[in-house]
Amino acid sequence: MRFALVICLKDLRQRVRDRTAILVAVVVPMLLAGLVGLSLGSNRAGVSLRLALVDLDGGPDVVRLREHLARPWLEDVVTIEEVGSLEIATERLADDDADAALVLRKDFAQTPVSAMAGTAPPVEVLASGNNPFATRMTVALAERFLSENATGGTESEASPVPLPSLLAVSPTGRLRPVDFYAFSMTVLFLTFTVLSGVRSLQEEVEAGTLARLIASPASARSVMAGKLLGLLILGCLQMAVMIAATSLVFGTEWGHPLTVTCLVLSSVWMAIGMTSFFMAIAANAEQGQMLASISIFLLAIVGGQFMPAQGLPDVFDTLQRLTPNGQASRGFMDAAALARDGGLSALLEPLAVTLGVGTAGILFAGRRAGWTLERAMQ
Amino acid sequence: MLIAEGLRKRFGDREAVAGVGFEIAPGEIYGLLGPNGAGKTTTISMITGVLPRDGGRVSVDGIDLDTGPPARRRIGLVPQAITLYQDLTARENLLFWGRMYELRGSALDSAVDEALEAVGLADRAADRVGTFSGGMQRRLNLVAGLLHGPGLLTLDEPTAGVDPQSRSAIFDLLERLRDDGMAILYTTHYMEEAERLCDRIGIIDGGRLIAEGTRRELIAQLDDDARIELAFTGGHASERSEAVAKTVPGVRQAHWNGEHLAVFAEDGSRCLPGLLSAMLEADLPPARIEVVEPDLEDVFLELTGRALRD
Repeated sequence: MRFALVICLKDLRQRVRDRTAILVAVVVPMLLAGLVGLSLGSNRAGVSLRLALVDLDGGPDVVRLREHLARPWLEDVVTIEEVGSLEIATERLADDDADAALVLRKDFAQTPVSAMAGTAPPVEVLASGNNPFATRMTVALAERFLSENATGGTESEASPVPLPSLLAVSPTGRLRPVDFYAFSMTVLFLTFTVLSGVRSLQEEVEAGTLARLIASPASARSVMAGKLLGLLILGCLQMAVMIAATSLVFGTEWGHPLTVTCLVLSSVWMAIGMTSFFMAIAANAEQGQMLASISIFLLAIVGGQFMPAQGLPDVFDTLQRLTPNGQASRGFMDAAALARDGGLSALLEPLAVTLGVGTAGILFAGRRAGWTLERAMQ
Repeated sequence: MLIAEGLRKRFGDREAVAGVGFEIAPGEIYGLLGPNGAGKTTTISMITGVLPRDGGRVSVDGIDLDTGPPARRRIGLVPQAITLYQDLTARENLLFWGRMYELRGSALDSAVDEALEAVGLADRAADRVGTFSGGMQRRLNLVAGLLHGPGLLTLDEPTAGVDPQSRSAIFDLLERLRDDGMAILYTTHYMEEAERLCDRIGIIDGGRLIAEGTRRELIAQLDDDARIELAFTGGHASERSEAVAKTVPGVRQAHWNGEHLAVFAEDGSRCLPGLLSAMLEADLPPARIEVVEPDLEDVFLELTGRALRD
């Protein structure tokens, strides 16, 4: 482990000294996200909440819910529009006529709250990626209403059933263009940042420094672990800087910290695996860089990182789901839209795809590393 | 200090090293001399554990190389390439390589200071290696393999592309290390380096060790042959002179090296008149004729029929 840390620190020192890498990691994606996003316009809502209310139950609870939302301290904040169907609510969100939607499912009134656990959640919040703050606010209001409903109106008592099983949150609506580009450019340039690190590994093979490392008392596994650790930290640092910068400059809300942490780690892992794969099948670092750069751009186009998939034919949505980078971007968009309790269950697909692709790429490159070194020694 | 036995390595269909073995005692410089592609780097890579062996055994200071760290700690490696990080300073490079050999704290700091002093780079310690000349990088490359005080130092053509001054500095350092009791394995394709520096020399060609001994022992294998060098004016001599020389009675070998013709004869003084008349008959009048002491180049030529630089 000590050897791995020594190698990792050396690699990070080298990367930090590389001004081009800093440019690619932070400055260029910020500029691109800002320029493209702002030129397409920003339609961010304020702190007020325009809520579309969908009552599929038709029982008396909607009245109590209305009363709940009409409390004096919410009077100037919440505007309620009751709509007749889920489709209309979704449209309102898509057209930015509502910031979130609250849905009371059919049979909500007939089902005792204590019996709701384990069944499909009877209340659903349709979240708009356009305004994660509104989503969080709606979720909080719904939780409070459910809690009071379960305890017969006594706010102080705890709900007998866990709230997450009563309340579903679904992503919908549209992201602000600047947020979309903040997510997609961060993921795109993450792969380029990691690529510079992976390229340095290939260059170490060609320069002979890797051979010298392998001749040291450190095991080959420690050497590889050090390299991998360096890439992970590098990728996570870039993501952290981008998240902080886009939050400060563009006001982008990335979502729940736990969800974002999981997505950052899986995206960095994906980027390492993907770039390692391209570098491993190339004859040298130069060729690997070119091959990886072209592939990353193609995957970015297919994965919808230059253009939001919404409004485009369904095939683009499918293509986005087929690419690991598309899945990573999608994961961040969903995380921002959900913005609640980590929302990990809704993000299983992007997490699984990015982790799977990353692991496959790293294993493939690892198997090729010995062969590459031997080839370099011939 | 080093025992290498029956080392074998195959790259696909090509057998790069086929049963090479030798021993090096403490305080001895052993030269592995051979042309490019002879198997020197592959041999040194197996001895240092960079490449896995297909066969054979290596032990350092009585410890089998396969035990890993205990044996590797006793080996210092100076590869043929400059294996330094160009964007790190000289000190940062040495600190890194020292840490990779388990040096820590004040021991590491003093080892780095001493190393920089030894190669005259103390005043450039804070400069990035990328700003150094080739010779300075070579010297730093050398001491990076010495920081941890190994019992065996392996150097793979460490003077490639080095100016005479740096080469001399490297030789002086290696001789001091030898005098301090270090065992040194030195590969080169420069005969002059092997003759000047090495206590014993192994001649390697085609992945096989074809001769081994001191310089004197190796030259003694030539059976008192004399080497006659003939230089010609004009550019027409070339390989034709080689073919003419081989027809002269008493000539055992003849080789045109691009500049002059080297002829090996059992008795130089008896052979010389016949050789001269054969050249004149072939309209190849020599501009210079010299009978010289045989050297390792001649040994290699005698053993392989080729020159070291072929």
